[in-house]
Amino acid sequence: MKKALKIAAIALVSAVVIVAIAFSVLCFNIFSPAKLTNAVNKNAARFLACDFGMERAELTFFKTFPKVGIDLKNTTLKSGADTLLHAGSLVAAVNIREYLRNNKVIVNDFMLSDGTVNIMVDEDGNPNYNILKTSGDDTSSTLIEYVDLQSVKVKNTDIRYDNRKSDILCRLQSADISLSGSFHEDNIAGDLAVEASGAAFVSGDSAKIDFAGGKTRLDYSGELRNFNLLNGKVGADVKECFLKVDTMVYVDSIDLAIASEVNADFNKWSLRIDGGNVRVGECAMTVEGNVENDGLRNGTGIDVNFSTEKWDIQDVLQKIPAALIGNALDNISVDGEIGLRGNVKGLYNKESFPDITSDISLGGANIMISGFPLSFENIDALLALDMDTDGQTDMAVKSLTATTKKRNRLNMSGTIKNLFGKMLFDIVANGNLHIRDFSEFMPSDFTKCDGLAAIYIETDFAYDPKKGFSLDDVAATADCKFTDVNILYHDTTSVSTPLLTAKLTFPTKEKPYKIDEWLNAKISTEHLKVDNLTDFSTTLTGINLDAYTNDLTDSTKELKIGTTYSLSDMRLDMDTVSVRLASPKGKFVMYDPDNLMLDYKGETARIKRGGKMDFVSDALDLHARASYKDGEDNPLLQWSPVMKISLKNVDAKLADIEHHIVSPTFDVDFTPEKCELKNVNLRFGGSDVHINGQIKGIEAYLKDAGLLKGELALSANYLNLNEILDVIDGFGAPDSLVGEATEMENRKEPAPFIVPFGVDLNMKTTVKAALVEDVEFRNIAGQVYIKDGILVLEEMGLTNDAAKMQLTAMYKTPRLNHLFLGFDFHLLDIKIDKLIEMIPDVDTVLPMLKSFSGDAEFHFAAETYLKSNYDIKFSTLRGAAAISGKDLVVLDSETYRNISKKLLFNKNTENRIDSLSTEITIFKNEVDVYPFLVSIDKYSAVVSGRHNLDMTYDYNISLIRPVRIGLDIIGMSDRLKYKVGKAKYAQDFAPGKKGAVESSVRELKSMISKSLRSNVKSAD
Amino acid sequence: MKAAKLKRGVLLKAAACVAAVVFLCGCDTTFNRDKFDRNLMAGRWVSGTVHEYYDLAGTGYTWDTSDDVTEEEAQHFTWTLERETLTQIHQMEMGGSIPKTYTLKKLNASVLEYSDNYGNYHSFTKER
Repeated sequence: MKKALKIAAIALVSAVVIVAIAFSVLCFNIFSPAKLTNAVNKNAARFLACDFGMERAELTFFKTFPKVGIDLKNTTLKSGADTLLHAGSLVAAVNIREYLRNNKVIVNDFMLSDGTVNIMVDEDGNPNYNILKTSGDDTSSTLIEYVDLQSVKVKNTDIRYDNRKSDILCRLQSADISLSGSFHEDNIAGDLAVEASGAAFVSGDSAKIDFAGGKTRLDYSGELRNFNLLNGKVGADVKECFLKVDTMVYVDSIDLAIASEVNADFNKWSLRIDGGNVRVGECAMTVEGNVENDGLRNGTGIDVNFSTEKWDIQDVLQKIPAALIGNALDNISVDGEIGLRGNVKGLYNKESFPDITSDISLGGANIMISGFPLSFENIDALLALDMDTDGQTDMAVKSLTATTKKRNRLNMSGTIKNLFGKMLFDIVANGNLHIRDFSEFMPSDFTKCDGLAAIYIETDFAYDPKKGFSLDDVAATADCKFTDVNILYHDTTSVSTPLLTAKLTFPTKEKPYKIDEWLNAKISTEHLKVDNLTDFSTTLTGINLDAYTNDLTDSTKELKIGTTYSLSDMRLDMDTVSVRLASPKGKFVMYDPDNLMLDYKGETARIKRGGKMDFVSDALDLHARASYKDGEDNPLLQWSPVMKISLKNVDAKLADIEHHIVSPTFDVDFTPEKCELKNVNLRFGGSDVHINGQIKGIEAYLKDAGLLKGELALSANYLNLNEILDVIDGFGAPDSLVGEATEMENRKEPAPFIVPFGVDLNMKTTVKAALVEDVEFRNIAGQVYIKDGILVLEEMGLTNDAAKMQLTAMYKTPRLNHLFLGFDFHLLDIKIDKLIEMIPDVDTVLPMLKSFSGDAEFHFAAETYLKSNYDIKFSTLRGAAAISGKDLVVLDSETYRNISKKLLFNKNTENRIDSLSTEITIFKNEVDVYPFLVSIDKYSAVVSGRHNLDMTYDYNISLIRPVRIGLDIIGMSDRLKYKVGKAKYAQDFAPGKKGAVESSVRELKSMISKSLRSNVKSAD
Repeated sequence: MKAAKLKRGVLLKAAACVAAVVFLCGCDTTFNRDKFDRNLMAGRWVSGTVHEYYDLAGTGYTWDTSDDVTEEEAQHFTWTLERETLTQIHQMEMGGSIPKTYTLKKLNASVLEYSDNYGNYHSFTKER
């Protein structure tokens, strides 16, 4: 069976071959090439309106099997002078049945090989392919009846389409084209497959487009109606594409693949794409929309939607034409994935490029901008791009999350305008940041920055890739919350806080201080600690600052700061000094580093300096301005402060001073020129003082160019001068004196009081009561001068239980072992016993005084130099005293009894003296008592003599009435010798007596008395 | 009686002689007022640690080095010399004068000696 079938098959095939050969032989005999060539030429002339040339025509069976075909060898169609078509072989398959039955030549298949096709449309729009004769010529409709294309094939043919009206040139090289379908009148329906070794498209109509591809494959399935309307599915695969528009290369060596449904109108040069898939290299996208010629605007109108898969950003950026990007990405390194969904819409011609809007999704992207200290990683974003290549490209950041330095998370939204030029950012961002990771933004002086920052920022700024990032172009408002902050400045100063909130705004519109305000920082923290490793430690609590600075980004400008501040508490510890300020608040302005202003108002202020000082004030108000001057060493001269200081309830304790200095009120205005004590109340030990007045010449004093001058008024309820002199001891003294005093203290010898130097103070003094040594004085009024090492009490009136007094005194300290003390002391209405009690030294000067009791008037002037221990230098002692009294009582003493006995006084003598008036001089250790008359009862005696300060006596009492007898009293005070002799003075000794000796004595006494009494102020 | 007259005459002659002596002595006082040459006072004198300086204008000063006082710190006085009476009037810095009177005992180019009424004797030598 099998064999039979095999034989049958062979027999059948053999029969067909024989029939075919017989048919061929028949055809060859009937349709010989010569006849056929002749027939074709006749018919060509009948149908074609162009030159037609052909080498020969012959029937073919095998090329068109099972149809019969006509094979035209070396056929040429010329339209005018141009060759429309040349084919090595042009085969048309004929429907033999129609030819045999109806004598119709109907072409079903067409095949062109080894040829060239040149389709042209001239400048007037006349195509060269209208080669069929019109109906008047034996119409084309007739031709159409004879053409029913079912298959067209082109092999190894170069095809060229040159539309000079539209300035379009298309070429296919070595194209193989397979077209199957039907061709009816001007309609073609079928499938098209094109393969070419190369393809090109050049258009110079609106913009110079130069497209070229390598191996090209095109598929089309659909129809072409009227040779104009294309409707079908198209697929394209072009290798190594090249696209240049004008001079700009957009694509180079990139594979392009397209699959889409298309509707095209070649007359309108419009294209509709549906369901298009485009793959450029590795990047795929779907496309749909319209592209059509816009003759009115001399361009191409585009309205195309697209969406992509996730693309590798670097691949995309490489494919984006440099013309679009410019140098925007020169300093930007970016990777990750990007997805697009958008639209290209607008006119394309030489002047314009269509807008591109697109939603862009970024995933896992990383961006690094050269010159910007941070890179951003793991960027997930949804962006909206509006690319207007004629204007600017904008981007809306719908959402963006990113990480920088691995652990800092940022969220951002906003817009970026002019993306490919000088970018304008309008961004809202928030993030949780580690401060350390942003140390590049800090000045290099900050050597360590730790802490967390939760930040919300609204910012507008510009970024020009050509110039890099600059804070100059930034406007921002930032709400920041810093936690666990620890900053190290210069490796020496640390700043730490557990929590600090700050609101920063720059540039600010508010100008409260007129310092070119740029940054406003509202800062609050409950606890801030600033420590310097070597110098100080500061703790601040409850801080609120509203600070402004000028432009921090402008390094050519000096820093300016203006701020209000309030704190709950401030503590500063520096070496042995500690400062505590409660509730300070106020204002600080640094107009520039050399001009400062401070307003301060605070509650308790306390300053301690080791165990040496403890200063406390219940309230401190300060308004100060200071301007720095170069070339000065003294800080006060350097800064020339102008201050108003007000303190309440000051309590200061100084180690070197026994008593606290208390000041209920202390209001002082200070300038370098003068210090005005407006309302200063001081309590010191037992002293209670109110001072006002002015101290001038401070600047000159500090420059050693003048004295510190003061005009002060001092009133006091009570003054303990012993305590006060201790305080001002040695103020401003020359180094030589201070050195000597220090040496004495080192030797544990008490140093003397040193009067302040360099000052010229005049103090009008009114004191209700004062304590000097152990004596209390009252109702003191007078002037006190301190002038460059000299202390003067001038005509100081005072009283006490013993007397009314007037004192003028001088104390100066030219050198430590040569102190000057002088006084002019007048005591009126004094009780003698009280006088000795008050001034025991009077007994030394006038020892006989203690023998009297009663009221007297005492004038005493003396001066001497003292050693550093206040011992009198007797060689320098000078003095004079005058005493006068009435109704004195001679006290009963051993001396008086001896005198009475020697002078034979009656035992019943009344011991009362009517009057007494004597003058005494003191020179070195000699006390000379000038002769004076004493009357006791019926006795009158003249007393004179000398005693030395070693208490050796040489006195004479000359009894001149009722008898003349003399008594010399000599010897030591405890071993006095009484020697009776002649009286020295005449019986009529009296002030008016003008004997030679008496006259001289009176003259001397007068000199003494006048000089003593001249300084007594009148009672008023 | 004659004897009495003679005796009275002798007494009168004696009295006249005494008066003459006294008168002559008075004339000597009148015509030799400057018992000492005050010019010799000028200069620096020293007695132990006590120094005195006199100039012919009638001013001077004194200081005692035992009290750590230098010449620059000396205290000033004015002085007069009336016959043998040397008066020093010491000036107080605060105003006022302290007179001191001495009797000059010896004054020559190298020695100055004076005493006061209380028997205190001061002897100075001239400083070169």
